[in-house]
Amino acid sequence: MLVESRDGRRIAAPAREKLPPDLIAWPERGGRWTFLNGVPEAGQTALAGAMAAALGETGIQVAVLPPVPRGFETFGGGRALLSWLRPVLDREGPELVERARSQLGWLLDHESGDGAEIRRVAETIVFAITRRISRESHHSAIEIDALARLLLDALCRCPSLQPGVALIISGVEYWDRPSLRVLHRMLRLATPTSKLLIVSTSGTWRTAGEHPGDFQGWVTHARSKFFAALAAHSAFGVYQAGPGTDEPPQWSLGVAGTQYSDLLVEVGTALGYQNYERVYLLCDALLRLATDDEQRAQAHRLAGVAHAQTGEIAASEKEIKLALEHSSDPPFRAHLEYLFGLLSTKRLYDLDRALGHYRRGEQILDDWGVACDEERVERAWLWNGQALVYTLQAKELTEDADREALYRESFRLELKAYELARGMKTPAASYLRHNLLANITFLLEISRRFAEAVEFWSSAFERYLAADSQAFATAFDMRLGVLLFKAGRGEEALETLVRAHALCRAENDAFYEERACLALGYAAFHNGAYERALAAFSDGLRITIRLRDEAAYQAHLAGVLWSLAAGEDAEAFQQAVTGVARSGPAVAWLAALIAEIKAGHDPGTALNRAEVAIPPPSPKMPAYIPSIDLEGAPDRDLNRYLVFGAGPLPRPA
Amino acid sequence: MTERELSAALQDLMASVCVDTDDLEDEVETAQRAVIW
Repeated sequence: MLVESRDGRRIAAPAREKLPPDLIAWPERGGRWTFLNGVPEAGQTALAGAMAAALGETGIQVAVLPPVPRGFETFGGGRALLSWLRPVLDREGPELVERARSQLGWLLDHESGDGAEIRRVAETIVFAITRRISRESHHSAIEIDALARLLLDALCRCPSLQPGVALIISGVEYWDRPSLRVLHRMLRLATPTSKLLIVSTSGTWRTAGEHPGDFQGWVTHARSKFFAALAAHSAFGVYQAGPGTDEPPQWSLGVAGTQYSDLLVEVGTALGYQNYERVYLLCDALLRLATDDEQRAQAHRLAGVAHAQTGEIAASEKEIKLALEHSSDPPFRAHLEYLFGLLSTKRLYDLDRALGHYRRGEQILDDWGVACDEERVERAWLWNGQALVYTLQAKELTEDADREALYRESFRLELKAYELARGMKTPAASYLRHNLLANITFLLEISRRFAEAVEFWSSAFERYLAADSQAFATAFDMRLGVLLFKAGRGEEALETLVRAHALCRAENDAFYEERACLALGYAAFHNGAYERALAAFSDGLRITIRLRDEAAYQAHLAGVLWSLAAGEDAEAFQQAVTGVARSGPAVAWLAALIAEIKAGHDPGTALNRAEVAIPPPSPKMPAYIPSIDLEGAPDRDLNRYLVFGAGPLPRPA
Repeated sequence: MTERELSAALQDLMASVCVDTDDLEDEVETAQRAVIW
């Protein structure tokens, strides 16, 4: 299938391939991370030297990484890694550096720099985190994955590293989260031929308990939780090398700005990279530097946002309450009520409580009685929040007329909110306006007005294609393709999704490319184009293996098997099932499927009886990548529930 | 809001939004991240 791109080029859709074994097989894990716990700080340097001497005798390259600066500077650990690796790369693998430059340019060019480029990237994401309590890790996942692959590629391609590499890291408890994720990612991607050994040393300490009293305590608590997450993902084996100490380290921010406004920017960056220990230290510093109650309120609000991101909802509400107590600024107070409402909706699923907060926010603005841009923006956000609650409530209703009436109330609020925000030139208003336009499209999709959703989405966003941004074109086409499919415009949907797929590939974004394959395969399958579906799902399967994403592998495998069954290729179907059983990852439904096949059912019947289903594409590209950020996923994907779910929204126990 | 009022409001918004004076170059990144709730 050939499709024309927006600039007139011909794009080929994924082509049908046979199912070679490497398309099915899951790579064996390689590499090793040994975590020596309880080593007193004073003894760590000597221990590192002794280990380096011992390991050096084995003939492998030993890298004793320099200590990282205190304060959990974002990618401080990654820079330490690069300071060792870069001379090797420049000498033996300059082409690897050039290949990584599109994704890691800021880090390669600023190894010891000021992180200015990090700030620029993070600024576009801060609104999503602080305004919508969105989990955002896709942008950092691309960088973490690229840095991990750069090191692993160097192990294969640079002659001096081919015998193997041992990374020795002292004081790993001071490494920032993004850099620890790089270490985890390297091990996740390493194969038995990678010859990678990581040895890290750390002091040990007792955690401050479940309810830390101050930000020092929260750093300790956050560290403990994150190292537990790393251990749970089998990143390392822990060895108790000494008694350690009962006292947690004195965490400090190290060198950082001394101006309140500079630190505020730093918080945005740290939140954007899910570098929560740094957020806590920065909030601590902000509270010390604050000269008035409004500045103190801002620090508490940001700490509340960080707590919300790590699932500490009670602590989050406590900080936001403190912010509310300090602030006497009505728009800010209304925004805090909005945050309470969002937490109630998105984390606690308590819709009545959420509505109470939104109404309280409106009351604050009513009592203030001032009409200005700030007031309008906050009121519009509050209406936007109420619209989400009404939409969720509508999903629970069984009577069509009642449900439609609530949907229309949501539409009314979204439209009213857009009118309030129209014409304002601030970035905050722009972010809100675009969010509202996307929400109106989403409401049209939820209420099954698919043709109107296509028309509205195109009217609202097509104009930005003129800006010639590949990233925007990808997001636009992915959304449009799924909506066209739902509107029954199958061929247009396929063409649009092929374009989106090609854009993801051109952007070198495997995370979105995999999603594009799933959407393309799903649309093709339900259009009866089984060969195209098989090609898309096979392409997706190959990407999931490269990404080591078992959940996504399972989804594409379901697509491959259903496409083979529908295309009546029983031989290839059987080969695929046998291949996965022999060398694939754990697949939840595989045993049931094999049992149904052994019972004599044909492929389609066996898939149905084993309840193997191709998941429908999500209404949006994922903002977070849990397999890399290791921050967990929410109990419930509200977006999927809004499109595909029905009935009561389960509340957490 | 009735169905007819909703339909009219959406048509009005579609007609007006495409001529809103957003700066395409400045706002394309925001538009790219225009996500749902």
